[in-house]
Amino acid sequence: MSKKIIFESSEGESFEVDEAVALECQTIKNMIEDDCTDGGIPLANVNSATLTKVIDYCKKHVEAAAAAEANAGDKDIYGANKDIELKTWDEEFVKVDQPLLFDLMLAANFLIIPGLLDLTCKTMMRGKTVLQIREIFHIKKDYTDAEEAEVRKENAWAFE
Amino acid sequence: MSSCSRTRTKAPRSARIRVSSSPAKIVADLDDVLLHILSFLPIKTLIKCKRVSKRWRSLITNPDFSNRIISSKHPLPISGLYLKGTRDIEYRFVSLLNDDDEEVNEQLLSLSSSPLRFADHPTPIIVMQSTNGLLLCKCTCPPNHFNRNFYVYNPTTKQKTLLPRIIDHVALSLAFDPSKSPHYKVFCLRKSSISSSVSSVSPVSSVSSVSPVSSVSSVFYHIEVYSSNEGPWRRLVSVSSFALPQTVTDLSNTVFWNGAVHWFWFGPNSRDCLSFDIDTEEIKTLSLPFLDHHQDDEEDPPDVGTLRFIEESRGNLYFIEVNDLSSPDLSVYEMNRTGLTWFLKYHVDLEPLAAAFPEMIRTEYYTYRKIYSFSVIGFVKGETDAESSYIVLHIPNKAVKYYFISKTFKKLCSFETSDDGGENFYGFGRSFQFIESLANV
Repeated sequence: MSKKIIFESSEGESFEVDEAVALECQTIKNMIEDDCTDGGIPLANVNSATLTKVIDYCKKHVEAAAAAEANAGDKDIYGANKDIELKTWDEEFVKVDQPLLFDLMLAANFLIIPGLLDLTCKTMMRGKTVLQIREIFHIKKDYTDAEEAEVRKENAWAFE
Repeated sequence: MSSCSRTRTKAPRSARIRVSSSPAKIVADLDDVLLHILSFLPIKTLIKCKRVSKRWRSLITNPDFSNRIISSKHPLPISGLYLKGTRDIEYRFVSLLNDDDEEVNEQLLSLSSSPLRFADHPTPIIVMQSTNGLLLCKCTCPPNHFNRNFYVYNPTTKQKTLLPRIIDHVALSLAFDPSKSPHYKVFCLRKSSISSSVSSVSPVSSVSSVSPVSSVSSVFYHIEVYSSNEGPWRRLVSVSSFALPQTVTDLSNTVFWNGAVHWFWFGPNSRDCLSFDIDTEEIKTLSLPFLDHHQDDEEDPPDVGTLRFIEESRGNLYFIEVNDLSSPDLSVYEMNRTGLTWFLKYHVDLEPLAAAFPEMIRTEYYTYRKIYSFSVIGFVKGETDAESSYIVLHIPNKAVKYYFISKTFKKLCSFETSDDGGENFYGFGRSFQFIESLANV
């Protein structure tokens, strides 16, 4: 039986995962290597809902990597299909509301899961207008109207 | 047990922090996370995002960020072509994006018919070369009239830099490879004053059998360089003066490819290219492929070089030459990074295209031959495979793209009749790639 790692969410809830799954997080990998994971790893800035999703993501990617390795001998269309399947799974995975997406992004940044960080970052900005971006990030416009017009002018394309 | 209770007391405290600060706010406040998010955006969207706030603007315009972006995304896709008319210095723009949206393209075109201009400049600019997102331009404004103001211009960010004054230049060429360095260099070919250079003259080392002694003139040349980080023009001392064949006249056709600037010349009997490797500072000539037209059978030499096109795309160099407009065959030659041999890469059969666009077929004025009216304005090597490689042709009143492998074609946009001469078709004089880039100039 593989070694288990216990995560504890900000609410104090425990999550038991296989070590292989936990190793997807670079931060945890370092901790395991330093042998300081006994008694569970408290994640004070990751809530249970986010942690559940993060573990889902890591599990899926560990499984996909294992499947890819098993098929490495005969690289055929099947392997390629797996790739597409994982991509589709990723796309479905990030179909969540904005706050959870931010939580996932922060968790991925803190736990250092490059794949998840890339995925959430990409998703966050897709097809957003300037106004939407300000709204999402709670940014107050600090340009005056004249200044904004100036930036807009400076950025206008030769063909826009 | 003790560790357990410690985490429990910790949890509510962090929860309190979370209440006062939303995850969106935290992300927005962390520069590294925000920059990571931004790094996934297309260049065009990044430019737009400068409008979000002053902080975003300063992050995006920071050279460290923009250099990282352009080197990680290199080679950036060609998003359009600037086309120079034969009669004026106005540029048309053809977008190569919005593949499935002809209407958008039409709209873009109608808005782009204004000349390419610097915002604060009274006169239009003339594009000399396009390299990885930067344009080498000249204009006739003060302080130096007569087209002696040279600029390096980023049309995406609209930044420009006036190069230090240079006189008696023979040809210029811009070298910029963001995957290697965020800085660009401009190389200038100048005539050496004979007295100072005679002692150090050496002939151009040649990979071909070109420039026999008899055709070498007594004029010698040397190379000077301007660099965006090291500043003003200086002569490259490692490169001694060299001679060029007398047939060399116009070297305005220049391409930066394979770590070397290339100046092309086309004479009646010589069609060559001077290649200067910017790292090894080695000069050589590079032969262009000679098309095997039945020159021996004909008394009069054929009308050589009716149409020529040279372009770099994704690391390879492409050459097209058409001498006989009545032939439906268009051959595309490719040279890979070894820089040694030309390969006949693609054949285009113009017949199906002419069937779809019958206005392409004209009768030649003197000979009454059937000829195809077209010019080559772009070549785009596919990002992943040959399937997506295409050529862009200008045919009467239209630009079309033609995919080599699938042999399919698609109209990109329409032109005004006045743009290409209507009945007397003439293609655009030159075309220049437009590549969106954040490069600082």
